[in-house]
Amino acid sequence: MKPMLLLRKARFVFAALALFCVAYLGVSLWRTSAINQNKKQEVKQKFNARVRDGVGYEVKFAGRSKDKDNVRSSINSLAHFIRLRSGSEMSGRVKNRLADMEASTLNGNSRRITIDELSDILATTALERVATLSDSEVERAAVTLGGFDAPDLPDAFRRGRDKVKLRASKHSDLTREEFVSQVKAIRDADKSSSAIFKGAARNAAAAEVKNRIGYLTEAVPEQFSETDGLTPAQAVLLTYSVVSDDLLTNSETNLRKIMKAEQEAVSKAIGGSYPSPDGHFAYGINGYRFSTPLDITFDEQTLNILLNHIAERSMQR
Amino acid sequence: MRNSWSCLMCCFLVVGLVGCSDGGCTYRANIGTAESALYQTESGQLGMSYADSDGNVDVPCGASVEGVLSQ
Repeated sequence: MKPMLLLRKARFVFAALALFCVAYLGVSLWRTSAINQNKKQEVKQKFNARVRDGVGYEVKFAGRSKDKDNVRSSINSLAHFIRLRSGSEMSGRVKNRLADMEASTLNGNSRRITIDELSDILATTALERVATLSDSEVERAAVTLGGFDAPDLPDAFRRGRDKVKLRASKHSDLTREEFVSQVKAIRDADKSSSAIFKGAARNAAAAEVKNRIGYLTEAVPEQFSETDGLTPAQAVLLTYSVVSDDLLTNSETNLRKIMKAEQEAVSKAIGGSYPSPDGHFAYGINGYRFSTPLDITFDEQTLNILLNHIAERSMQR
Repeated sequence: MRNSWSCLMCCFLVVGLVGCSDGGCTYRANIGTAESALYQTESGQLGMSYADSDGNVDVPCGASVEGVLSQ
């Protein structure tokens, strides 16, 4: 009888131990997941606060107001916001046209465009603009996309400039030569190839626009709503954000302070000096944070193509 | 699509985290509440990357990453 009793006891101890292990594992997994969830929540909250400090604080859309002066001042605040961050200047002609289109939309004479329509318009605009690019413009764009440059940029950073970076958060191994030949191939493509490129461009644009609309409706719901659709001014702001990869976070004053702090932190980390942000914009051509050829992708010609397509869509009922 | 052998190897080694795209071999790092990251590749090249809305940056495979400013 004794060995049987011992065996029963051993079984009981083993079962209790197994139960304890399962419970411990469950609690650990639950805690890890809760910590990760809290961390994600914290990242989201801080990011949304930065969005409110940037576009939320500095761009004043006319809202439902149909007042002509209000509409004009909303377009001016948008143009000012873009200029302070990227140096990109919207011409008087473009601002007038945009103000007229915005007023027409707010008056109900034309409708707002949907997020899907904006993605389609961005792809169409990009392909139409690429079709007009000269070889030297393509080559200049490749150099600009190499990233920020300054005479005192350390060599270890400069070595990365021979690669083209298409998004601020993503490293790329695409060389200048590869970029130039790919853009030229898109420019010189026949109709059937163009249709394939357009599909790819639409998917890329849709991902960028949806990501932005996602956080803008959450952080600044008084300015952006997924259900209402987009006015021409909102569409232009989103277009700027996509082509410059400026996430519209931080006010101009805070952006300056952050760039200065980044310079100091990077200098300390590399044990040398990193160029000053003084005299540089955060975004756009040779942007301190992210460099993009806005002189091509957000110039008057491109903006007019964009506004033509927005006008065309917003007249369709 | 750039599918060099080194990229393919790298992708197989770290399934799920590493992606081969037009950008070559990269891995995704979350830098939390920091807005920017400084990375250094195995060859000593330095670069800056700026976090997306979820705090993620895609850096070259094998690179070390650190958030520059945590707020």
